[in-house]
Amino acid sequence: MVSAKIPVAINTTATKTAGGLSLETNLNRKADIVNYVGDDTLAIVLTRKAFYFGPTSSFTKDFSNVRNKYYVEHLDGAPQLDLLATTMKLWAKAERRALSKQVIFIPTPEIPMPIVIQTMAKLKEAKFFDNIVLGSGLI
Amino acid sequence: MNYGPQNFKQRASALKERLRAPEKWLLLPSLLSFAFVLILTGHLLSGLNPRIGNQADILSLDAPSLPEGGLWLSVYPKSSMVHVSTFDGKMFSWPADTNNLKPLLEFKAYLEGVVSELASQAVIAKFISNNQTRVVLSVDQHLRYFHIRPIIQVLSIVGLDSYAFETKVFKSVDVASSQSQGEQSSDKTIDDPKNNVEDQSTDEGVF
Repeated sequence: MVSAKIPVAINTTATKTAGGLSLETNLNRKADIVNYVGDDTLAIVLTRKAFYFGPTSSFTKDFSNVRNKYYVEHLDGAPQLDLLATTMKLWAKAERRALSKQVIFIPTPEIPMPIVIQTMAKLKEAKFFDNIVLGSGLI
Repeated sequence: MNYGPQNFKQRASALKERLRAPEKWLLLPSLLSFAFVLILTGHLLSGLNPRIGNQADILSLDAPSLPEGGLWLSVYPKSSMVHVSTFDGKMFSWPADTNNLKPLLEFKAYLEGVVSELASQAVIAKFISNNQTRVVLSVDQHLRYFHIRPIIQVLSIVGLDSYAFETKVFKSVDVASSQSQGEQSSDKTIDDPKNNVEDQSTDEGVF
């Protein structure tokens, strides 16, 4: 099986108590920052022509910036999964940042499911990420 | 009663004719028992493993195996409709080109019932494992991402956060042939004629 995750949102609008305790601490839950989906979470977009990857903010707030997203073109229609993994690793090294533990994977609608599943399997195999979030899991 | 030789001959010849004539009813008990076994087997086996009779042509990929359990769903296309068959024999269908969640309301209600049942069991047992709440999707290879997207959205609405795509693995009986088969099946391209991407751009939902 190739597993995926849907992120669970924790409602943090509760007011902090005196002393600055947050909801998570009150419930004795350790907030794991690296598993949060935020602006720095890596996003990978799969289109018919190429993979595009970058932090989530590069596809949302900072969409017009051409320097914060990167692409790996397909070779004769076949996605180059090994090259994507290598390029992401080099990008993380160049940016001096650790790859996020979660990745948001957004295929475009016409992509066949076998390609989607194989890409997810390859990302899991590369052991860069703990969780893969398919774009549909974000509403 | 006349037990003379003539009468005996007549009776012997009548018996010979009766034994020679085929008895059609003789096959009936064996056919009945055979049919009984078939019916029992069909019901029992399908009850034990919902994958029997799975119409989805799933991808062949050597993925890591996860513990059995969870909610198994089979998703396959047929006649411009997407069909979903569940682990307990329920069936849901909606048009393949749907772009909203209205046709999936029945499916959503079913999943909500399943989640509610799981929650009750967890409260009584004071335990629930991750495997019990994992949804296993057995997806046909001819489907595209936009066919699966509404299903994943429904999963997130009802509160199921863990799902997985089922794949099948070739057993290495003949290593050379199975390796080549594995390579052929995994080297898929987006523009593979089997995937009909060009057709898809003009008419979504055509298989």
